[in-house]
Amino acid sequence: MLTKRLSSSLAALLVLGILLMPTGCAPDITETDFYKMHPQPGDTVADNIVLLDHVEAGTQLTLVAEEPLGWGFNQFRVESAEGWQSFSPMLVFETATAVWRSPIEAQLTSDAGVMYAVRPPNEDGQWFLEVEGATDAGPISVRTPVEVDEDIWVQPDEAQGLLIVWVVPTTPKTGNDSFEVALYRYMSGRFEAVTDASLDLYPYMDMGGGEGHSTPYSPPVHIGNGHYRGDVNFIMSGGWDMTVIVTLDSTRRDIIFAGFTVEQAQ
Amino acid sequence: MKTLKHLTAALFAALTLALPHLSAAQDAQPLKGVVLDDLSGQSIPLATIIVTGTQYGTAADYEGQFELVLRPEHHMLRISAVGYTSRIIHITPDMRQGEPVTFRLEPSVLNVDEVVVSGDRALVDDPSASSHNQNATEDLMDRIPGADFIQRANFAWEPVIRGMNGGQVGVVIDGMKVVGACIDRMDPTSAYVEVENLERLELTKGGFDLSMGSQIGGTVNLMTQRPSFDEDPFVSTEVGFESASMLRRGRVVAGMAKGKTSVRGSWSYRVADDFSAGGGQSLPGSGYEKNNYKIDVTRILNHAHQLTGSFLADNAWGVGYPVLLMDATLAKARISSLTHTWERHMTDGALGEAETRVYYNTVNHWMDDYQRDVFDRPVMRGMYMPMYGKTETAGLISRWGFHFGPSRLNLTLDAYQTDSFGDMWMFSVFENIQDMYLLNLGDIRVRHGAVAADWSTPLSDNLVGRLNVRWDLSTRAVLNDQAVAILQGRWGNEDLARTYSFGNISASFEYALNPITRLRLSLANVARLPTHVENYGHYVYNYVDGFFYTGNPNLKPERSSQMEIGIERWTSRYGVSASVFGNWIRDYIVGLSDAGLSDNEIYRFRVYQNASSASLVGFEVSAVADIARGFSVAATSSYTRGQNHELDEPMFLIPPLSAQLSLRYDRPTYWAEIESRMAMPQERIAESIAIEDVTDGYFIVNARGSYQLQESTSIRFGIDNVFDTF
Repeated sequence: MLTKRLSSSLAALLVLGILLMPTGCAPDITETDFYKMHPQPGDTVADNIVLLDHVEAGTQLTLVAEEPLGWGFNQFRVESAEGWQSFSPMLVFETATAVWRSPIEAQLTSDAGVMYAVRPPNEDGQWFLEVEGATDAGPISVRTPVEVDEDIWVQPDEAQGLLIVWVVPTTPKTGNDSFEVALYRYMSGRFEAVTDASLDLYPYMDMGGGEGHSTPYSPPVHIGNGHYRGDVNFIMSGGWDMTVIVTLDSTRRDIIFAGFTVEQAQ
Repeated sequence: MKTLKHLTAALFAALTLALPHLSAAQDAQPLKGVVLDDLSGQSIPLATIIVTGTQYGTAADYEGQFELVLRPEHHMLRISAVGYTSRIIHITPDMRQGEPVTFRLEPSVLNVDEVVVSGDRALVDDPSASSHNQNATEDLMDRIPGADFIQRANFAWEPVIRGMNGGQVGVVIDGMKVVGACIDRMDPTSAYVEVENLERLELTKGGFDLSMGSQIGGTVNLMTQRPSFDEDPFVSTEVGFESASMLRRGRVVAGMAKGKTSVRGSWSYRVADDFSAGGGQSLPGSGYEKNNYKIDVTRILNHAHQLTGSFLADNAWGVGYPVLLMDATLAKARISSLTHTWERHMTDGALGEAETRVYYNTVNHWMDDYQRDVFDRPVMRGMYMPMYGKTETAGLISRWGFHFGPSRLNLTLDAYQTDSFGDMWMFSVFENIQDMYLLNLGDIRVRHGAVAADWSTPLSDNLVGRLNVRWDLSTRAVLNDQAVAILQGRWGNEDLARTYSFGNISASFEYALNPITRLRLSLANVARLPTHVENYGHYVYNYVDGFFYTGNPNLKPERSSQMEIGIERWTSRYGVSASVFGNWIRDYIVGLSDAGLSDNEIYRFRVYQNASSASLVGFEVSAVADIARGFSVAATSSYTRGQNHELDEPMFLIPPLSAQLSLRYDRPTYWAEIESRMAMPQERIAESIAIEDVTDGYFIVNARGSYQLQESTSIRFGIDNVFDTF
């Protein structure tokens, strides 16, 4: 009996050994393996771009940005405002016949802000950054030429002489957020707010291959001075297009902010 | 939806080697016993007697008598029978001397389908028991009438009970909550318990048993093996093969006891290639690989107290899902628990037994489509979509059993917390398409507590009543700021945290027309909570209907009023059990159109909402009869009809009328069986809610057998789908 039981035990252990040999262990997952189809991200450390560095009579005002200036909103930081009690920056576009001042005032906090570059299409001219403010020594005005690149945040309807400017969000992120645009007619060197338009939206994520989808939103309504505000809830991070459908004088215009990035909310 | 259930054209075989630690010892003595109904005193025919922690046991005869050879040591026996609550009995050496020992079982009143795992032997006298080649735990359920499966692949089937699934059905392991990490439900809890670790499977249909949770569809409780206190170390191994998917598998179980400590460990491995369906059809990309190990240590503290620590690990990788857009790269479950059991051996005092378990488990699930042609699919073309999900659950479940004369009261405290996360990246192969990221579940925290009381008492000489009440309190919140921002946008900047509090009640009555015939009436008014995905899921793709689903924090619990009428009759020659049921569901949770997000047919969106109502009616019948010496015939049939009254169409995923018929021949050293399975076409389909197609009926024949080569070695073999039909 003992021999029989011993042989049974050995046979069982032999089978166990045979089983263990080829099976190995479950694979491990690392992020590298799991996201192997993800393109390697590049170095995203941005250099500061000095927009303005003005030193005068013991005062200094230094404004920097991480991105070059572009049409529409531009975020900047106040590196130094020594001796300045207050100031207001503005981007101005000068042509041979007109001076186009941004119809949207800059928004400022203590150490950062957003200013808007708005200009009519198809005109040659020069951009300037103008700063007016008050220092300990009295009022001061600074003006310096700047480069402003074409960007998607200002879209024209040239046939009707309209411009639509993306106001907020200045950093589109996943989740619900206010969506605000401003609508102007451009004429005779000035912008005139359009207050009687009816707006609707169609946010769209192009997923490639002819596929895509929208996301929840509420149509913007006029809140004053040509500004229209609604909500948009970007459900995914990635590349999006935003079509603003403007109905004015019974005419519908589809104006598209194409190819902007929505980041993940942190 | 095409399922795989009838496509199992397979030749299989399994070889089991075991060191039989119980059966051959020179000093072994027989335990003689008789199993009686605790209330009537009548004998219970065909009860199953198993030594816990082993696969060794026997069955009582029609007079309830049995004989089991045991070594002269302490043992724990589990005694179970259809229609009765199972009991674990402590057997002492002196119980094997003299007159037969009487064991009494209490009528369960509820209709609990129970499958006891007993080695390679079919439990031939229980129609719902399976003699199927036991590759996986699901195989043990597939003969229970009213139990079906959603089969997405050759792996991890999700149970459907009387046409209900998902959050309507609870699957627990030893009563523990284990929450799947895959938002597409590719990791049902049943996948984590392998057959070698399963001592017993209890399946309750409907919402009549509230001790395991508040469900309206039913509960599957997978009760795992515990260490045995037999002092002989043992090793048992099994290897098997199935031709349909070239499945190769092996299992090893070992255990030993020394003094007051006993250890049991198991390990198993399976690997399968692509599944070959009947008629020469095959399913490319349906293979998988899996291993599982479990270790349990039990320490006897004194004559009444025991402490058991358990750890289970399950890994599956390379799991192909042909019906989905992607495959499971890796699925990992880690389940640990510490259990204290107490049993009164004195006759005085109302408290008879108590068990308290604290547990902690994690599930991680990775999927990707790196092996797929991402251009050749109906949705999300031209992008890779690695997908990840995880859950972490900690809980406590405590049960206290009181005896008041012939009446019983069981109290249950059930509490747990689950954190869930799920996300998906999308990397397009097209130029100028940025990476996309979708947060499906943003750190959802569910805290749940419940108390339940289960009171059963004889109301007269032949009438037993049972009252089951349960109160649930559940809080849930979204912890991830990104998910909060997204969901607040959808639901109007409101606070997303929710608290649910609700009660459930069920009552059952069993009337003995005579000693062999029982009538049963069960009534219930119960509810089930929305799942965390139904509350807070964000654009979760449902492969069944092709819609993206958004959760709804404002969902109300789905409430159900149910009734079941059943009859059981057992004679010395045959047994029959039949039930009819009706189920009226209010606030039925279903996905309805979420318009405005897409203007094409590729991306379609839905939001979970409470529909007005739905109803289910159906029947189940099973029977077994001895027709000659060693020959028996068994049959089951079930049908469910579901109607969604909101949309005035059938409910989705309702199985068709199905039936099984088997002829068995059973001898001490071998058995053989021919089984047929059939289903009618399902033409009652949910066209608008689930885009279902009409499915064909089927008829297949299986043949199986087993032969014990010697005392410790046996072989099983069989052919599924003998005629290779598709």
